[in-house]
Amino acid sequence: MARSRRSPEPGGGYTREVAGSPPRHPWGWDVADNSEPGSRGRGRAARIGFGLFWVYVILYFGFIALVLFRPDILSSRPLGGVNLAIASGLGLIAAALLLSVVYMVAARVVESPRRGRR
Amino acid sequence: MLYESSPVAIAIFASFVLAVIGLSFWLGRKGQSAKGYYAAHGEIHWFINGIAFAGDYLSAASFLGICGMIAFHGFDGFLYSIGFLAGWIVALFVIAEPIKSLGKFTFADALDAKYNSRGIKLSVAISTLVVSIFYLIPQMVGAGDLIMPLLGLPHAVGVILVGVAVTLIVVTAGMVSTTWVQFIKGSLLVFFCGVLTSMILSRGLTVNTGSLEPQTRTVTPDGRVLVNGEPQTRDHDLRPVGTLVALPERYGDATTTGPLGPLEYLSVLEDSRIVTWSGQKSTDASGTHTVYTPTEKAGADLLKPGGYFKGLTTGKLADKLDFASLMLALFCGTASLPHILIRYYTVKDAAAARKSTVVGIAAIGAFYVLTLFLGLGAMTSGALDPTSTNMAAPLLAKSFSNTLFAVISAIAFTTVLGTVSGLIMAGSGAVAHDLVENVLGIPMNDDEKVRCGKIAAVGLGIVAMALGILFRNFNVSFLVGWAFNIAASANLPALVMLLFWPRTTKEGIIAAVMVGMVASLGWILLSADTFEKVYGMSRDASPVPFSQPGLVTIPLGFIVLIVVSLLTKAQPQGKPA
Repeated sequence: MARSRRSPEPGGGYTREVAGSPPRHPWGWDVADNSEPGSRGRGRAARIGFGLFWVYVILYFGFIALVLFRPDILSSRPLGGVNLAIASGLGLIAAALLLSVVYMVAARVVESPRRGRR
Repeated sequence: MLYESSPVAIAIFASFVLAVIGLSFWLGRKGQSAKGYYAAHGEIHWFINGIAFAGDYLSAASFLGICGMIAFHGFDGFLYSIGFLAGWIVALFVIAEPIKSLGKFTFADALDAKYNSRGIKLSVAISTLVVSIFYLIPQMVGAGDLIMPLLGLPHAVGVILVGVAVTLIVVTAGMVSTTWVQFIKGSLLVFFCGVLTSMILSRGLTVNTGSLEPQTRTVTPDGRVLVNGEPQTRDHDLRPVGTLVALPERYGDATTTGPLGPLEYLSVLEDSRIVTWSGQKSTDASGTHTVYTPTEKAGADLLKPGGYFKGLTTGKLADKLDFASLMLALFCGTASLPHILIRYYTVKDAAAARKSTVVGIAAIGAFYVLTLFLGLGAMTSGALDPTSTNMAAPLLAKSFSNTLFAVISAIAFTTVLGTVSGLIMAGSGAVAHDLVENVLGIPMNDDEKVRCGKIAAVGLGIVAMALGILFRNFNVSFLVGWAFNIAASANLPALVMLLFWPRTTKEGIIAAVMVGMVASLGWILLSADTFEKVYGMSRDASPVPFSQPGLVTIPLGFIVLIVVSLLTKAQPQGKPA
């Protein structure tokens, strides 16, 4: 944490705590608790997360685009039961959960300490 | 409508509140260090934290507002659910872990970790405070709306009750107790909504041929309330509304469907005909009149977008932009809410944070599916109060049983307790930790930090109560939309660019936060809705084309950050500014 503090050292000098390795781009982030096993893997986990995020962006804004430009499609009832509007809404909710579980599992796999590497 | 207060309701209600406050006192006996107070010792178990996420997030707007909107307008309430939940994806996949690795106690620390700049601390603390206050207002208004019919007491009393209860909780135990309050609230909410939903499904759909005569509510200049011309009394009052008037043809002459499965319920509804009610206000010499008239609609038309966002069917561009802007703000707003982000610090590492967010999304997603059924059940319950969308869910419960009504109202009240306590935590953190210690540079030891936080909490509680009373006539979801717009405009650009663009400078962050906040706030205060409902002026006087600023102010925040960062010197790595 970047916080400079002045405190008298025994011997009269001043100590300044300077930030440790500063945060860089998250794909290779040196995090504050660098010693944590798997902290390297966090960059990979973040990348997976980012990819999943874009998947959801497509789903979500795709739905919004349908609402704005082709509402007739949303009124249709392809399975004879609920209409596509309701189905999409429920689908988006399910997709959010699914993606978050995928992420959790993928991140755990990617971060597990690997023996014999590097 | 007038409501009778029932002793049972009051008893259940009081015991709930006292139990929650008691729990917080008991938990408050744990350590009172500053770290403990603000970040719950980093020890909360991920499952508890996940459900607490849900409890934190599912506020009065979710529970009361969305149900009510679905009950009166159909599918469009569900659009809010979709937007609210989608915001979690941004929070989880873009913001979650980098924040935890960067931050210490508050959102401002996270943004500031790179620069150690007073300007950043100040601007982010202000933005945190502003957003927290705007998010507080609808909760307090919702609290008043709950108390009024439940206990038969005036709106202001409900607001004050919440304010006092929450301030007590926060001041005695800080984050630990708010986590438990929210865990309890989250589990209760989802559980009882599940109970209510299964009751709705087993009751099925019934034809109800109640009277379809328009009703009028008049407020005379001297403050008396008339219903259909006569003074309003419990025996002469507005009739409850919201009915299904025709089942699908395949049911023939049957007037009820019997128990239905969830998908069956939806498809039967789509083939039925339903009567919804809406009010038209007009003012003349004898007072302000609101005339409530029924409209018969096909279920299929109610279960598609456009019931509330009229522009989706009329084709007006401004309305379509308004809708897109709101959906964008909801999507971006969750990750930017200070009281959500603060919860990431209460687990011990990244893996725990991910697990807790998954649990949170599961609980919240399940809840939104349930509220769809609650809203539709209320729509056809024949028990709606035409004057209040917020009461749809509790009144639905009342149509099943009085006890359930009391329980649901008590849970809704704890809903508000939980959300408000989270917001006051974020706000008091901003004041005590960021403003006082970091910006004003007043050094404090641990004890003083905690005390400062508590004083700030009390102050915020008072402000919240005052605003909740002042804004009592506002639509709750509208105010939440405000908060999301401001949060997304002020906080998200700074956060995202800090995480993903190394060339971000501290001036860029300060500029982005301040411009985003001021622009979205200004836009909202100049919008047609504000002109009409706050200033009492004509909608046409508003200079902005639509009400939700997000579509404009969120990109504006990004642009400002990029431009200002490029114009200012790049920070050499590692030196405090």
